[in-house]
Amino acid sequence: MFDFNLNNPYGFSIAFIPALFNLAIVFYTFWKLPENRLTNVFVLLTLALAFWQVNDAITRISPTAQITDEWDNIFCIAWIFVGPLCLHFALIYTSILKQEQSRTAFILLYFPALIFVLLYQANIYPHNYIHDNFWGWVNSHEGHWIDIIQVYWISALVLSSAVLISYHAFSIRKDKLLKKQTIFIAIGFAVPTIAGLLGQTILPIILNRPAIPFASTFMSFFSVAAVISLSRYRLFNAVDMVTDIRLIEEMPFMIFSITEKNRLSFINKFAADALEINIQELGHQPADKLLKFSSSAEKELFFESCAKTLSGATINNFETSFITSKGKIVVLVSSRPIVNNHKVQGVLVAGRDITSLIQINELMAYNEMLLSDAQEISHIGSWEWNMKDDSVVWSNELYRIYGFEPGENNFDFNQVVEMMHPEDIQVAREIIMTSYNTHESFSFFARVIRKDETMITIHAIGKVVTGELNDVVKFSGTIQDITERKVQEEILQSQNVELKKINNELDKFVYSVSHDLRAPLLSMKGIVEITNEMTKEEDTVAHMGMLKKSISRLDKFIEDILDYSLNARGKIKVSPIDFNELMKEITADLKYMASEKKVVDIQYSVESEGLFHTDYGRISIILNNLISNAIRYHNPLVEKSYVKISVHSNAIRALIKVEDNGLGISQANHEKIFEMFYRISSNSNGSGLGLYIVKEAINKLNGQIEIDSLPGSGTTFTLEIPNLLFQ
Amino acid sequence: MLSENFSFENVMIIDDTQVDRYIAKYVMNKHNFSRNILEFDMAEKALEYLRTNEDNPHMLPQVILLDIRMPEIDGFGFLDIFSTMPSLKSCCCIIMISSSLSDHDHQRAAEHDVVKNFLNKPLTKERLEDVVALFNKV
Repeated sequence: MFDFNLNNPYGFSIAFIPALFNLAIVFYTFWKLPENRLTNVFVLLTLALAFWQVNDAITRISPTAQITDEWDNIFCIAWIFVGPLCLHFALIYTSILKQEQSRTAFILLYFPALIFVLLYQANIYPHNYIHDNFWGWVNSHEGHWIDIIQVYWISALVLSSAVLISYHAFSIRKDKLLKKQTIFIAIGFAVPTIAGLLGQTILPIILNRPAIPFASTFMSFFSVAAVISLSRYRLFNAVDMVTDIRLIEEMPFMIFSITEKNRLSFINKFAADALEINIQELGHQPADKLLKFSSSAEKELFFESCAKTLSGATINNFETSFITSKGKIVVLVSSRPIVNNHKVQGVLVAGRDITSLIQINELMAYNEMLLSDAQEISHIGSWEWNMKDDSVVWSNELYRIYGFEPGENNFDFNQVVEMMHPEDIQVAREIIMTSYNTHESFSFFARVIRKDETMITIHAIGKVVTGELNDVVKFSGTIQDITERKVQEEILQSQNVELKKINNELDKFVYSVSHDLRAPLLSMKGIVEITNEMTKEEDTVAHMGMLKKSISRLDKFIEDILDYSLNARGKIKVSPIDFNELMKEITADLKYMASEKKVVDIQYSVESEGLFHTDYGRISIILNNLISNAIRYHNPLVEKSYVKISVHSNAIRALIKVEDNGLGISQANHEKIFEMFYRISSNSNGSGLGLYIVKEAINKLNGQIEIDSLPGSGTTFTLEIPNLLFQ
Repeated sequence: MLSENFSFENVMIIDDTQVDRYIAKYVMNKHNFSRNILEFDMAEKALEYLRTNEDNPHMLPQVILLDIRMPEIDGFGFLDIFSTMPSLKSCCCIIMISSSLSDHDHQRAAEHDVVKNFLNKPLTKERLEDVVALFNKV
């Protein structure tokens, strides 16, 4: 059988070399081209062609017909199967054969081939060979009728494949790329087909001569053309690859199937992960155990619909929910019967996790409720005015503001405007027109006559919404019922007027106190002064002294009240302060003070870094009071009474020390002395306002005051006043 | 103290309060402040006097003691009208006398350059001495 005679290397080569090509293509397709029905058939076809070529090559180097027949018996399976494989390829390529019709097609295509192989190998009819010098041993085809049918059958299949592909190529109009590919394959198909038909069918039968088996040489045309066009254009029908289970596994959809017998026969990875189902358990547990529904009602409903689907119904989008370790998940499921061979084999369920969608919906509903509550509480309604159809949309609260039931009526713009008070309509129209023209927002107040004819005041705000062409598409805005606010405002306004009046009167009163109340007092003082000069009579002089003291006390009291009122009500007027000038002025004023000044020595030192700014009136009141106190309460037992004032000022603050060696104040009273109308002793001459005013004035200037004092050793007030230059 | 050495020849006092005028006159006389004291209880009367004597310098006062609060034309009203009389401005000085403690009044008075000083009532020897010192300085 392996006794070959290599005296015809050319005949052998022209069959064997193309066979090697085809084998290479088989490997290439196997590793490089996508796996689908078309390439699967293509691989088998090319393999069959390669074996046919090998068979041809061997017959050309076989020494005897006997050996040729032995090889032929082995390889007949290849060349017999080329016919159905060709047609199978063509049917898939031209999309005539659908995936779901595969079974019938398989039987129709391959069953005859199996019979022919069996018949050929059983040797129930003679295989006749004639020797040719170049082609070697060749079939004579003068043989049995089975042999003839077989040849015609193969030829018919191959020819119809070529016709199908060619027709397909010509019928493609729009898709240029696909047309190119198909023409390429059609040509590759046509060349060996014509060669085969001519050499092995038409010539032998018409001319009644042995077959010329040159078809095998041209067979590689087809496979080369096909593999080039397939791999170059890669126009594989993706549908063929969709059944790839990996795609379904990872898609974010839950896909599972349930059989009639309540088994989960398939579940994709996404669903298994989401529903926390262990794939290992699929076969061990029934579906209703594996799927953990959130309630038994849900479970019942689900299996009811499964049962319906099993009897052929399709069910779309019904909600069910499952319990997982992460909580409840809501799934929108649809189910389809899996129909195969005219019978429902199971239920395919596809589900979408809508838990987050539902949460968002709930949140939106909640927000909407909040907004509506907020509108109700604040009496603010919102509106939209669409230019396109002049329709006005109101929020529920706006209906309520206008005295309607929510949604009671639909209004157009004019109707809304007409609801305003007749005096306000024109102004409102103008404001809205201006906004329409300028595209700027508007805001106005108007009175509105409600449905029940009561009147309210509203504040309307609106903004323009423009379209792509910068045209006004709509207005949107709010309307607030400010009737209550308006009433409050009016009350406030009248109170304000009243307050201003009172303030004015108070100013006048203060002025009157400062002048009218003092004027007669000062006249008295004058009379006392001149009387004092006129007489030497001892009692009169003593009485005049007492009178003068009382007048001074009253005068000081008036002055204090005035200072208090000025401090409490006056605005802060910041101006630069020259402490030297200020001290001069204060000591000058004190000159007219009672005889005590003669025994108290006033000393002052000023150190200023840059200008110090504060309220002149207030700093003057503060120092005046502190110094006059020091004089008033000097210690008569001390030989040399003094009051020392030191000022250190810089850009941030002024530190002022007023130090005396007067009577001093006991620790217990340090807090009290700043209280209103507090006096240390009943025989002191003060009003009880002086230090209170000092404290108040210092507060107004954002300053601080501290006291350090002991009875008998004097008092030191330390003040810190901020520089108000930058305020 | 009787002396012919008067600080001023003529001093005018304008004040509606009789007691205050009395005090002023008394103190001025006692301390030889002025040889003649021209006394007016109303600003109108004072203005009329000044107008009629506009051309007689020896009849005009060197110092006018002016109260602020008066009925009808008050001290400020007087100042406004006085300012329109240029010949008087050159020879008369005005001293405001008041019982007012209001800063506002002080500032308003200071706006007029004829106002040389602002004295608080009552008029005393020390305060008159201040006025004399002021004039001696000038």
